[in-house]
Amino acid sequence: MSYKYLFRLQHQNFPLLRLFLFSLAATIGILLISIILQGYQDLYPILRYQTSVFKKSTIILYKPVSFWSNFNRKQLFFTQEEIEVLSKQPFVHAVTPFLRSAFNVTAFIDHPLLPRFYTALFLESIPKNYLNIASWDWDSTSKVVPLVFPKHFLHLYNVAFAQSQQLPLLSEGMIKRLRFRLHLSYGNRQKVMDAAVVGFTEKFQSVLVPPSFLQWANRYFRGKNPPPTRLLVQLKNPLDSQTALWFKEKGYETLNPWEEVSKVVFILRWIVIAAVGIGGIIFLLSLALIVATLQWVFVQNQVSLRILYYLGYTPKQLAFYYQCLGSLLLILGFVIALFATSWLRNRYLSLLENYFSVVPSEFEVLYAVVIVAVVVLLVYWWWVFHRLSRIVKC
Amino acid sequence: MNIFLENFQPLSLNNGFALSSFTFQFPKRYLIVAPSGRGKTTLLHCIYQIRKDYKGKIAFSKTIPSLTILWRNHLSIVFQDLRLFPHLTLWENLQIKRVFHPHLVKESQLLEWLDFLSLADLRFQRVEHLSLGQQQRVALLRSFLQPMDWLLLDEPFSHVDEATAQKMAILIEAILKERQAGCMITALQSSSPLSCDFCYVL
Repeated sequence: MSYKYLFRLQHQNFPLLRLFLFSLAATIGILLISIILQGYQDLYPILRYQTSVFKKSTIILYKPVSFWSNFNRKQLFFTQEEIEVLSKQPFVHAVTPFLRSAFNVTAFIDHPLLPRFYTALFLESIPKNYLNIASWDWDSTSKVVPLVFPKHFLHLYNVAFAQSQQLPLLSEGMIKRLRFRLHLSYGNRQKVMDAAVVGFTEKFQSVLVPPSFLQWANRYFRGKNPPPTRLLVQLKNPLDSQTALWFKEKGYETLNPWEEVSKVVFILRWIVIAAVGIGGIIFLLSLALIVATLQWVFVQNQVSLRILYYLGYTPKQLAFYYQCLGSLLLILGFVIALFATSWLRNRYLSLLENYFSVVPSEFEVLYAVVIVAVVVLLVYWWWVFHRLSRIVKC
Repeated sequence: MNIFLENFQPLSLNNGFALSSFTFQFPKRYLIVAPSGRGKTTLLHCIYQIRKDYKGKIAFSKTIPSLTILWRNHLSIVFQDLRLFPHLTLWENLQIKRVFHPHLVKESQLLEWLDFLSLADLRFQRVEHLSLGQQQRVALLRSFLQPMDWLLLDEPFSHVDEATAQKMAILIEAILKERQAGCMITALQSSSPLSCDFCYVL
């Protein structure tokens, strides 16, 4: 059957321009959604792994100190139970307690050519894999205790302390060559050992020794390790805002700027959701306008459509023109939106490449847009047919 | 195909008619005469199955799978209000019906009919620019473009002069013979240019 004359009739008085404008609005909606989702998809891994602020997935957790803590120091300890609960949380990758010294420590330099140096100290310990230090082992036969010093302390010593006290300035290399002596004591027991700084760390603001040494020393002086007051927590995803909320609820505090970051990500995520929501509203509104326009066309042409039905045209044949034209406009909209998204994406990726090593994810929004397009078109075809059947048959 | 009416009564008419049992015998010709408002058009529309506001039953002796098939192959109608498409040309108005059976009436045949009814020169004019009488002839020709068991003509000569009515009657006669179809004509008076087997006054 030839549709030529039917189409000619249906084409008369058809508000093509109006429908085109509405489908353009739909295009803008789709474009907004797809570019923002694709952008989020592309930017998220960069935020997650490639910026210095965000990549810290290891945080240090402690309990806040208040005046009242003095009366109950146990408040600051993490119990075994608490550590287990924490490590079972879905956002936690691993939990490692800091070992701390439960005895008195003083360090001094006993060298005829150097000025006398003497300081009280505390020691902490974490497993080797958190530090980038080669010689981080100790056993009872070792003659020297390896120490890792915070870079920050040395910096403060050089820029402020040494200047004010007329003391010699120390470089990292010089310090590594020095031999310290450690005086360990508790009650009647005491011990003096040699120690050397084997490295510096930016991550941990503490004097660190190998776990094997601290375990041995705690056992020697106190019989056991004291309960931990600080935990090293490896997070699965530092950008997950739920994590910060959970810690807050538990009354734990963290040392890193990590919480601020998760707030930023939280806001960012809401901006993305809002923008996608606005895109969705634009898209749905323009679909509603398209539908309303077609509804108007059907009512306007109700008489003609009914005559055609009485002449022997089926509702399916009558719907075909509107289905084809509407689909064409919508597909055009979807294709334009996809091309625009792809073009804009190439632009921002090439901008990002100046700062990061970008490994672009797949153009995943493509699949999402195609699926949405198919669903929208199917619903549209069904609706036109259903509407027209109702109009010609009543 | 016979058409049976049982306890038929249109619902929308105050002074309407009622038929307890009636059969339109195939392929006879029926002239249905009644003053305005008695339900002639309603009867034809009910038989054509585009109105359902009646009591009783209308049945066909053939099983017809769908309304579309009924309208394409079994019943052909000339509406009283013609129901042409005013923005299409005369030719397009005919073609839009002819698409279902493009080989039933040859184009040369159609042109001959147009010529016979003095419409040939007007075929590329929009129908809205034609006179009512001319439109009535177009509607009649449109009804010829399909196979049919019955031709339903709702006051087909109301807007034409006698000479033209005679010409239309000749064409109708020819078509009814060729297609071996029955015919129902409604009219205000019992005289008709087309010879009928039965004349009923409602």
